[in-house]
Amino acid sequence: MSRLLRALALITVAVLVATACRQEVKTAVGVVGRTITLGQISALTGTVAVIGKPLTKGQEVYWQYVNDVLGGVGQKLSKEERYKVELVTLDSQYRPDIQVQQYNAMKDKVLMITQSLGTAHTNAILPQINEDKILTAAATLSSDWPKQKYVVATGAPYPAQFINAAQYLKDKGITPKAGIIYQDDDYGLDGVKGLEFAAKEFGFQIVARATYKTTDTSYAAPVTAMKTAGADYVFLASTPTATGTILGTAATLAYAPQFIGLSPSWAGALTGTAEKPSPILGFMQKQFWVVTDAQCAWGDTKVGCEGMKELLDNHKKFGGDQPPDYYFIFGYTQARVVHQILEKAVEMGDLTRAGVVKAFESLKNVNMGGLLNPISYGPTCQEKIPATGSTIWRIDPAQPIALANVATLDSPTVKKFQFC
Amino acid sequence: MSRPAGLHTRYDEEIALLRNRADRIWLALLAVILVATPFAIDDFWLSVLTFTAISAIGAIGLNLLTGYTGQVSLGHAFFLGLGAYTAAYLGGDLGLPVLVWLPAAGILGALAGVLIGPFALRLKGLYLAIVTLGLVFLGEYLFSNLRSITGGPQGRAIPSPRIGGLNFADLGASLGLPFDREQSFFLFVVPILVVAVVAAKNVVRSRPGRAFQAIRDREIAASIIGVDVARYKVAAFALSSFYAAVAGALLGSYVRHVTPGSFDLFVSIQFVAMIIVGGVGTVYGSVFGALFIVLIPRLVEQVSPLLPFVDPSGSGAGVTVFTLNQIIFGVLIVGFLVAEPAGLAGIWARLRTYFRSWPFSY
Amino acid sequence: MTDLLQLTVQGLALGAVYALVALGFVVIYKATAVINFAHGELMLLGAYLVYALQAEAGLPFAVALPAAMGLMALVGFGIERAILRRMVGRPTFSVVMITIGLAIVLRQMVTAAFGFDSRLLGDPWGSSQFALADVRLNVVSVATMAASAILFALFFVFFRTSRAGVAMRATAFDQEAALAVGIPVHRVYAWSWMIAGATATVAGVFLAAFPSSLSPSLGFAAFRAFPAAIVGGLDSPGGAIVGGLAIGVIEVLVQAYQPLLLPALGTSVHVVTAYVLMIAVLMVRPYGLFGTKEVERV
Repeated sequence: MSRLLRALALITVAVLVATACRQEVKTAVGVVGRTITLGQISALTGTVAVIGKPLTKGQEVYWQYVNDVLGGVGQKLSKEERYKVELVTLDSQYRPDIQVQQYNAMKDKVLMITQSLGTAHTNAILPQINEDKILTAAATLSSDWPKQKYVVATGAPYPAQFINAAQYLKDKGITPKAGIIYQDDDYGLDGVKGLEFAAKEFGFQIVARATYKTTDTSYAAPVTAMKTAGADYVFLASTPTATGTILGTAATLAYAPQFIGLSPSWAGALTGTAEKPSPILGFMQKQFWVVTDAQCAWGDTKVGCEGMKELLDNHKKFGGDQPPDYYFIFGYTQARVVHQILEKAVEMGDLTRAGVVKAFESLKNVNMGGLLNPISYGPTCQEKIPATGSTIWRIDPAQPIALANVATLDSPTVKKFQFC
Repeated sequence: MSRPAGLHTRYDEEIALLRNRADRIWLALLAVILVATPFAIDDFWLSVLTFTAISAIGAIGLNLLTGYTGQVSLGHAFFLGLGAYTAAYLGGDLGLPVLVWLPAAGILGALAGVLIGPFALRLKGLYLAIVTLGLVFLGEYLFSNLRSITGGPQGRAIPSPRIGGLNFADLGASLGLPFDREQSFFLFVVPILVVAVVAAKNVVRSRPGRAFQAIRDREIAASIIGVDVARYKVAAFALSSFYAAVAGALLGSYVRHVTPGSFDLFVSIQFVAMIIVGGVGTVYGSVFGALFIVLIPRLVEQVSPLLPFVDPSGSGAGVTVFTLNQIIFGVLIVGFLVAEPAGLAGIWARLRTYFRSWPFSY
Repeated sequence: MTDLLQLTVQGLALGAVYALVALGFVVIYKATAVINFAHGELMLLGAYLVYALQAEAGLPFAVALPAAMGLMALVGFGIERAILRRMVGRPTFSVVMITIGLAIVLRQMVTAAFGFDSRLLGDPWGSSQFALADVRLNVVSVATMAASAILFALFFVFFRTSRAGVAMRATAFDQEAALAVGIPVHRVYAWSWMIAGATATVAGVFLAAFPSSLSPSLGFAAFRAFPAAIVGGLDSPGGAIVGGLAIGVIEVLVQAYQPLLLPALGTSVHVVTAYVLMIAVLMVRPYGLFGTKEVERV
């Protein structure tokens, strides 16, 4: 009996000692001394890595620029007082459940999250973001974000892109017979919402709709549906691999409408390489447009594109072997927006999580040097839409990222869309 | 003094869970450690243990089906999803307390298992595995399309386990005790795991368990000696799905948000890996296997900054942590199957025999 | 009506690809009674090798393809030698799980080596196409059908008439008995994995050919072709062809017409239709349409 008691006593002591070793919760989260820690949860592996990796690189290059060239966050402070930024980057593998785990891994270390890639994925961590009150910049343009208190949208939501494209058609006097091929998830549905609103406002018909799944091998059915309905303008809410196959299938079926894709529908690799261009490069050049946030083209350094000049300089200095890429621009721009929020927080004297949220809500009319239209945020949902302009591009393999400007516009109809 | 293990003179001694005083002491020790753990380790590792506990419940269910009854199933993820969405609907939309939705999730899973079970009567071995694979795809289709219940492709939120104002995921706030959310959930899940283990052990050591194992070993011979193969196969599916659905409901309640993609084929494969690594046909093996499979990727992540060939952001020359983890996962499966088919439980059993017969271990 | 015809033709094109994939499953199953879950990754690796041999070694496609097939045959041999040889005599499910583990490792190795971007395979048929009375067809699709027909004929003759083929069937039927009559089971396994590796390369190439592209997600196409292999019967090359074509046509037609006729069923019905069909066929014929019934002993 006494042996048992002795054993239990030993264990109790051991446990009490171990308990004392448990770390106490930090009070100033994410800011230690003069270092701010920011988190990134991105898709560094998996099919979306073509987006996630350049995007993450864009962020890294920007923050390196802030640390090395600008001396840190806090432009009004003296050089020694500025805050250096450290990044914690974790891979979500483009799975929402891993996103949650990675969020848990970083939540006690970061002041805010500067990149959360994926609509469903950011939604997966939303309950906890709201509970932990960590401001998060979403690297997707879902129309849900303005409704959230703790999510920063760094571009116009996807419906805006289609509405602007429809405005462009209307301005040219075209009444399209519209079709839409969309991915079978919420990203695709966002595109549908935008097109339906545009159809109502501008008075044209959506004659065909078709979905696809990312694991599909054959896109004959959706493309044939468009062809049968006689759609002459087919909107695509898709991702690059699907877009390539859709365009190829259309070429096969001798069906040549004008395809208009949302920004994620495009990746530079679709044109092939200089030695081995895509067999349908000619078709793509004539029949495909991509819509993105209004921005200067890669390499464009005219007046109004100072931000692009800064990006090009930093890309050369810190970019390593990252080739020119649209998503690099997106990540860089997103980091720039987050930087403005942090600067505002330092200015307001409150670099805590709550302070960062307040800074976000008070950010107004920030010049983005042409990387985006000037952005503004605010406490209400409508104010949290930073900008609404889009640029329409056509494919031009001669350009650095194979995109040449067709038109830039900011349709007033976008403001009428019910984002909130 | 107690008799040496292995010499039994009565039936209930042979099937007893705790054979002698030494077993009871170890159990008490384990209980103390389990209760003390949340106060001794930090939140990150605690969350790893919580994931382990939840996965272990699912793994026990799969082991009952595949390990004990020999019915290969790749569809475990489907039942997990069923449980999670049931919890979401009953707990979230209908606002019922966890005392209702947790068992209800299990029961719904069991009912689904009863529906799937008859397929096992017609199909053997690999063909059954393929049909259960089809279940996973069916699940993905249903979870994406039944939007009113499942929230569609973007998934939906799942409430924390609560009974009225008492929130088990945040006992600190509800009861004014000094727990945080991780500690609270761990203390909520562990008793459920204990119940699951004891229940499984009871099934295994009694008549249904023997029937399951007879079916696994020699099905036709079992039916000849009077085992009702049809009934026990369906029962195995129902029981396994019950466990899976409970695990799914707990998982959903822990991560607070699920999507159809959370229940894909890879999740099924992870559970099969858990029982292979842990030990097919053992209950404790399921727990060991769950711990191993959940722990290794987290350990690799912690260690990865020290490894020269790992490049965290994936934009450089090395492999990412994910790639490394996947390779380790695949190698583990292959390695255990080739070299140690009895899994960790087999290794543990050998270790125990070694120490028990020491110094005569040769 | 033209639409139905066009869609059916596209379905047959897809079906030809599925048939090629299914043939790979059949080869392994016919010789080793194992479902090779790593087949998708073998296709992936094969296709990437064809790409790499063209892009980096500068070989023309006509040389790159046979070279890649040879390399993949070696990979198949390596897998069999290093891992599967130790599993002779073990329960089939263990071997199946090993192929799953292998699949995971292979996929990572491919993505670590080649990254995640989509690339163009560089097949010689490109986007060339022709029209047959209003129905348009890619030349690539015709090539796919030709390839599956040739492979089917080869396998049919091989398994029926050649010594090696009969030896394979005997091994799959009863390993111990085959050993007892002197069949070199290890070598049979090696041959079947080598053939499977080469077949996977061909399947991978046609899967990644125009209008698709080469990307790591190619491996998942194997899961879409599973029902084709099962419906036809896992040990029947003819069944693989029939199953593949049937599943291909059904998938395309369902994807095209279900939103019009049965919108209440929701989206992406075509993915699950193949599996539902498979389950239905298995209920009626538990070994597939053309599979051989396994003998069970007490």
